[in-house]
Amino acid sequence: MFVTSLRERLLILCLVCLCMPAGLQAQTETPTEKDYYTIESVPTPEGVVLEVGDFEFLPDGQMAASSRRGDIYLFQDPLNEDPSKVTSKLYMGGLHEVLGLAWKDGWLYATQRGEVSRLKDENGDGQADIVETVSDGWEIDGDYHEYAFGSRFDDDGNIWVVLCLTGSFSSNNKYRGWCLRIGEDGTTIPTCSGIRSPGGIGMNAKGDVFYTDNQGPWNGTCSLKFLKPGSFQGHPGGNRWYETTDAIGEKPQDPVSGSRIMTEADKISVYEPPAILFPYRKMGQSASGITCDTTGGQFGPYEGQLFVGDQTFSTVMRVCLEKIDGHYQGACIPFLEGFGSGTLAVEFADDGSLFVGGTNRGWGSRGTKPFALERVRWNGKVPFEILTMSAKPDGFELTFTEPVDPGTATDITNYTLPTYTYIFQSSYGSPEVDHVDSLVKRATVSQDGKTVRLYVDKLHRGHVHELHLDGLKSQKGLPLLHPVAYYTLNYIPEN
Amino acid sequence: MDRFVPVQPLTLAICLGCFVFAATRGSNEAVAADAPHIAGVVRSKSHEDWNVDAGRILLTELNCLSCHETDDAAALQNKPAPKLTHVGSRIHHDYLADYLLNPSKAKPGTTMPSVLNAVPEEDRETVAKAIAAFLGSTGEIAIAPPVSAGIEQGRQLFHQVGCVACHQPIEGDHSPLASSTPLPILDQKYSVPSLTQFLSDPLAVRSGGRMPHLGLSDDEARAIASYLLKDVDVPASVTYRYYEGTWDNLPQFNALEPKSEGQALGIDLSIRSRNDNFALVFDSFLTVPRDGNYTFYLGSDDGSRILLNEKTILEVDGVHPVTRKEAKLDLKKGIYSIQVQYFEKGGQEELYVDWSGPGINKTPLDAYLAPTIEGNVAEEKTAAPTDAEIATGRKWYQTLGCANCHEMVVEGTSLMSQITREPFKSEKGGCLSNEAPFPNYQLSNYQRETLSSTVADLVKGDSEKQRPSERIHETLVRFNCITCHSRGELGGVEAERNELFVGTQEDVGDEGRLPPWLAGVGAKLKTDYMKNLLNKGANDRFYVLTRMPGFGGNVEHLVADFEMVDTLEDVPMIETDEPDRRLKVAGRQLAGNQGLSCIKCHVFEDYRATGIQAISLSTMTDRLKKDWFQKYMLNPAALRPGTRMPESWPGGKSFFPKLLDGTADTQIHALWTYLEDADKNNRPAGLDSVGIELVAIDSPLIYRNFIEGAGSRAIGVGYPERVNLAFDANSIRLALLWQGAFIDASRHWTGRGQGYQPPLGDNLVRLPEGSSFARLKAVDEAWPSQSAKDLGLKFKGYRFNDQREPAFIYQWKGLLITDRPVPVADPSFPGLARKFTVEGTAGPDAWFRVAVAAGIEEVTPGEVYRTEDGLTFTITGDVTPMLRPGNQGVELLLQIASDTENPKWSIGYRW
Repeated sequence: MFVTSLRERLLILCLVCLCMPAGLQAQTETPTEKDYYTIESVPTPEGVVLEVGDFEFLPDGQMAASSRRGDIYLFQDPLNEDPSKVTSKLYMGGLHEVLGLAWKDGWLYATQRGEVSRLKDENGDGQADIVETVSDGWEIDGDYHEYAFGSRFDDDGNIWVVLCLTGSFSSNNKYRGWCLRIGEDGTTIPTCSGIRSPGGIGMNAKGDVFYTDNQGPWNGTCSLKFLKPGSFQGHPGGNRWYETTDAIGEKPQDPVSGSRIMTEADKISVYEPPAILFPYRKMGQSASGITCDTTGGQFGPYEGQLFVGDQTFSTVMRVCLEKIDGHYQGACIPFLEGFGSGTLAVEFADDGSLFVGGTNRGWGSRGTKPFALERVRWNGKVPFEILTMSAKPDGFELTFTEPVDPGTATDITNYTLPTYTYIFQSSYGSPEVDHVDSLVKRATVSQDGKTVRLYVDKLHRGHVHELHLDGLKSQKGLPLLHPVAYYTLNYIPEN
Repeated sequence: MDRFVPVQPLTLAICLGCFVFAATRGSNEAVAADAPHIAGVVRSKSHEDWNVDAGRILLTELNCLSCHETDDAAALQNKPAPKLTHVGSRIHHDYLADYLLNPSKAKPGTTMPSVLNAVPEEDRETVAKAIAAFLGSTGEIAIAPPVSAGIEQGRQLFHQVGCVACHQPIEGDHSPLASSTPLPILDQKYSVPSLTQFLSDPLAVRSGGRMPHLGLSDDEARAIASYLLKDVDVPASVTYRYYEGTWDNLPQFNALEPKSEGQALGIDLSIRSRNDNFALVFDSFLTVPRDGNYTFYLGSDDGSRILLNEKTILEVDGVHPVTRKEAKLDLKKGIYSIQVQYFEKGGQEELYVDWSGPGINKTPLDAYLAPTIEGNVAEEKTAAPTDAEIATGRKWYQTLGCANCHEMVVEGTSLMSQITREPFKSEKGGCLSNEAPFPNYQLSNYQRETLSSTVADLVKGDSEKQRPSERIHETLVRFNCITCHSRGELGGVEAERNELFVGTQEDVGDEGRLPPWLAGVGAKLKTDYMKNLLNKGANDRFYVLTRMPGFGGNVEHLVADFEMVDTLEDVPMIETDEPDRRLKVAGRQLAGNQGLSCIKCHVFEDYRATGIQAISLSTMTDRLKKDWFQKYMLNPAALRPGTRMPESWPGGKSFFPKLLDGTADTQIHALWTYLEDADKNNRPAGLDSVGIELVAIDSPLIYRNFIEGAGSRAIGVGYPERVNLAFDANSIRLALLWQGAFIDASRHWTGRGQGYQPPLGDNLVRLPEGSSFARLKAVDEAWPSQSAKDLGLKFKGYRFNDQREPAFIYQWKGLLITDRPVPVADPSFPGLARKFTVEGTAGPDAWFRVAVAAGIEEVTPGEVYRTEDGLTFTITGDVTPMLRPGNQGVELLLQIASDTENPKWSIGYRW
């Protein structure tokens, strides 16, 4: 028998390690999303088509899920360790496409196509007995596009409702293409104009409200937009309603078709450029629900970041934002794919799991099921990911979830940075235009290895900066789980 | 007539192809750029088993027979070279010169030889320019920017409809394929309009069908052209001033302050920021390319005017629908200032400004405009061809042999070559040498060898008459049919190209994306259908995105050849005494969902199949030969290996042994007989879409949606007693009552949820529109026309009782009103009672309107009322009914007791 001492064995091990190039020390299989996050199906009531429009967690631990068919179901013990044990009961049926739920003071508020209502179960039998109209301060006709998405309550006690245009181009009925704030008492305050076709609405940790808008007229690609009160969001189709309200001042001048977003933003002071452009067919094709990770680290290292669905791609994307010159902007990064249907509703639960509801009715999705209700859980392992990307006057600063390998991180050949934007125009969508490559001239790594500073030859205001970092490795030798980030550089910071 | 003199004499000629274009996309390095490219020859070179005589194909594709004669036995037909009549209106003039000088550089793989080989090298550039000047003198190319909205569609079409079956895909990670036919440097050759025109009908210019007709609509052609030329930058051509205001005639613009101004691509109204009450002034400089008589065309709704060098030449002032005028002017070559004024009052808005003249067919003026004088001059790059130069070019054209291959009509005369056709003299030398003075084809060694051997046979007179099977073979290679189709061992989609063939239905598999094979096709397709298919193309397999293109008669001989070669054996004889009418009944049964369920996978007229969407049942008997159908149905995979079409008579046995005589042959015959005249009136069972009927079983069902007759915020309630109502929450009124089935939710639950759904059941009652409550100061005061909301009513939702019956709640200023409908059971004609309660005291003049009808009868005074169409109301409680004449007939009103605390009343409805 060949025997070696422990010391000798350690020595051999060390030698082996030293001989191996850094990359080979890593596990041989490149990790995938599934190595960190699991998507599990939550059973829906038998025979019911539950195309989830929104989720809300009730104080008693139940989860409400509303549907496009107008039902609201209550799920008992939704956070059960074994999702297959979750049960559900009909709370209210027959509403009109509920795309917003919010709980307040014993009432469940539901945003339907035609109104915000509130529901209550007075006799305690598990079904609501009261459906009370809170606000019907907008109009609607039989158009396919006139959806209404509702938020949760903001700190001032308002639900924010974003109203899709009539079709893609115009606003035939009052406040189509606007955002309204609805108080508990039904007070209805016109808040923003310029909306085209929302796919979801949500708040960041600070309580600022965002919605997603979709590729079409005046929207070259899908985007995340900041609903700054008084702002115009870019599509002038609904601007006729300035005539009926002075809540947000005078009608702004119309943007010039064929222009660029920042050219118009510089001219039209109330125009709030999209905080995030989701490059079409790269990130997705139909941006949808928005939720903010306030789980205190239970979902991974992304506290405070936004998670946004994409209906066509059946994905959830990740967004990190910063504020430059008073405007939100930032980067979007792929996060998780493979949901069963087209992602519509996304919402975090108290235990840090993410509930995702889907539908592919009317608009196709990669996920093949007609509808789905799923729960995403993190297994506690930290993937090697770009954590944040922020703009600097002369480049970008990246932080990572794990220390980077300084060798690959300082090698500028590991970075490519094409940039482009979209035509801001009245016709449908836009190709990527104005392509110009930025060049990473120098990259430095912080002492803890978690921050990389990129110095770039030239930044292009108004362009998406598409950063590829395919060659970058972590100190453990892993490649990035998603080696790309798309930064929407509307404003370049001065210092 | 005014004499017009250019504001600036034109010393340099214009050339509209002189805009600076973006750098061109790289061509495919892997494709030998110099030698002529013939896709079928490239592929067959590596397939000896195909037994292709490449020399014979080269002989036609290189147009050898335009200069050489052959014997009849060879039966070779030249590929007609592109027609050059009016080529100047199709191709940028600079490109023509570049192409003539070095054909394979401008168009890698071109089959056109360098005819300038016959000219001393130092003269070639001059000669090329002269010929280009002559060709260019036949027309002016129209310029327009790519249609940005079409670029994405164009990208998809280019990669889907069949372009990439022969050409290299532009997008995606595809390694260059040797078989890809290279494209010319497109943005140097074409403008967006000229490429659009070419793609819309390639056979018009290239009648040989090597670039077949893909059946593109004009919009599709423009989309592809916009995609292929998406980087072409077309500069602004006008400056504009935009005004808003209301006028009945063109105003004095100098006295007005423009709302905005700037530069624009051309004279069009897209700059406007509203559709009515605006005006535009366009200023620009017009380049008149040569002396001559020009016609200007002006058309507009509303008024407009054209000023040339500040003098009005055309005017259609005033408010009117589109009105057109034209003016003819003699103009000298040069640059003119031009102004177009336009205003719109209301309604439609349109403006057309066109011209025509020497070498210019009627076209929008935009292409000839620049916003500054310098703009026109700066764009000039080459000296204007002189008449002498054009004449020299024409001479070269006829002496260098251009006219041997190309058809060109100039001013009604077809240009003839001065080179006469001669028989081949030898299989060596001449064009085969690539050497001066012979036209230089840049032949590869392989091409030279194969061509040489074919020519040797022709010289010896050895060629034999071709058999149909050989002819089929050769044609399929010559026309590159083999890039999509296989026939036996021959051809088929290349492995590297396979993924480029896409379909709309992934779950159909390869049958849903690859073109069908051609083995046995002569026995399969009907003669006329096949002829039409080859000549005009087809799209019967609508889910296969690659379209079958039309070859415009060039391959029509295939029909007879296929039919000669392809035969079917063992075709069953049908022996049945059943009359056709009975066969059709059986066939219809077989096609439907209780039979063989053909409709699950095949569409039928406009009806979608319930599963995948395969080729239409309605076209079967138009496309297919009966014998083939009979054999195919029995064993589909034998005639179409790999098909998903199931065997419906496995082992020849029927699932329906009692249908007709129970034999497969008779039943297939019955199916054919049925399909021959099946239409929507005798469609197979099971095609009609499935509704989603909502049925209230134990407790009422609510359905809030768009309900026809009850508005966009309707609340439908279906009761287990089979009585139903729809409440209109917009106008706060009960709108509809009906009996029987409640509602079909499929309209709103299977698509995007738009449109109004009518009630599903029977015996529909419409209740009066407008507010149900009002305050009337006097009993003869008319019922108010304002909406309920304007009268102070608010809809507050609904509340359920223990039976889950909703009560509608309204607020009427200080009053809270509860309106609880309760079903009244009846086996045939259930009714409804509405129980009203009011919190508070109604006051003196509060009224409720029950009905408006042409006639209402008081059956029991103060209690029972009936309309003339049989709707009965029973009134009880703290109200006093009153009948009175109203605007739309008789009104039944209830006055609510004024002083009663919390008044209550009930209205029973029976009908």
